[in-house]
Amino acid sequence: MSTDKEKEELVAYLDGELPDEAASRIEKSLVEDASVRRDVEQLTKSFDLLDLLPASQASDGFAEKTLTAIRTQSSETKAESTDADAPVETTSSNYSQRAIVWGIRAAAFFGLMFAATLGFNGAFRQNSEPIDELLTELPILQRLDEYQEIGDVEFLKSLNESGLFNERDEAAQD
Amino acid sequence: MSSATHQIDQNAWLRDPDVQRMLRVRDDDEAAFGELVEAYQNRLIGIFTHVLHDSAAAEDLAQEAFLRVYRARHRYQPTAKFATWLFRIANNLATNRQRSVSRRKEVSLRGADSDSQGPRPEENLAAEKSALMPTRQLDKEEMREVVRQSLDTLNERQRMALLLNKFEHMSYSDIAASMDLSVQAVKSLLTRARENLRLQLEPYLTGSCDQDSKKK
Repeated sequence: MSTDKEKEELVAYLDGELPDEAASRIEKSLVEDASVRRDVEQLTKSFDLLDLLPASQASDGFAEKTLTAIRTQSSETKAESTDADAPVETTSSNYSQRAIVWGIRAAAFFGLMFAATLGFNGAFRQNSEPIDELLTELPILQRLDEYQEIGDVEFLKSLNESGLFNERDEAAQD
Repeated sequence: MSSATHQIDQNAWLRDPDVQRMLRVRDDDEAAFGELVEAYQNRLIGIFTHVLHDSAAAEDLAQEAFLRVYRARHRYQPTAKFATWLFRIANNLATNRQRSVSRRKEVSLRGADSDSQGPRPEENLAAEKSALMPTRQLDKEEMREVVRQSLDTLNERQRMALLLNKFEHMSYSDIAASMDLSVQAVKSLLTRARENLRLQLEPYLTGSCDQDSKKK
């Protein structure tokens, strides 16, 4: 056997897949060529050795298990198609179920809105507290520079007790 | 040849009793399906076992093949012999399974060892075996192991084509239909498979030939 084509023809001849004319050519070379005879012998023997491979047997109950699997599959398919094809019921129990569902949804919505309002007010109040404090202390803040120059409240009190501020008021009245 | 005779020849597979059974399955005849399972379970499991080397996985795949046949029953059109159709499903399942196994191997090898070009364990084993060479006549069990390892050296498509040819006695055109190949492609595939098998088993064949000649 030298070329791929010749090898293919030889294997096809052994498998009975060669047309009569090509089969005759192979038979002629079998008679004339010892190397072709050797190749045919080896190809045949190696192929026959595959018979040594163990034959497999299905385990007990394989067929039954397979039939059970198809029955299960069929019943599941039927159940699915029944669910899909089932008409929509419009009974009173359906209406009441829907009402309950819508009630729950509405309660959830209003609850959410209430919580949001509370949260907003709380946040606003928390933010407004520093502003109220500033407004109360506004007169002090407006004269803060003067107060800082004086430096001591006790000193102011002593001036007031000495009647200094009264004198200024009297002068203003004059 | 008249057109009527030609038509009969073309539809010869309609006389296939398993096609008739499958037509009954198409009409939801569960008993007919059971008959097909009984008839083909060992053949299908046999092919899968030789391809996968795992009898449990072979049974799972065989069951999956039968389930696919059953699921497709209402769409079944008798356009070939039943066995051809069944083994086409089987071939697709085996190919998908081998692909997913190869992908898993690739992922684990990438993590474990960068040398992915090295020989497979069974190749190592075959090399060890061939290094021993048959200086004595192997017993049947040892020879069986050698044959199994020789079959493993074939690639997946060569192995499937060879198994269908050997154990299902399929013609080239039926193998072509089962494996979605041309007849010429099957011819080439089988030639390479037979040649590779011969090369693997040659040392043992020579021993056997010598013994035969000595006996003579």
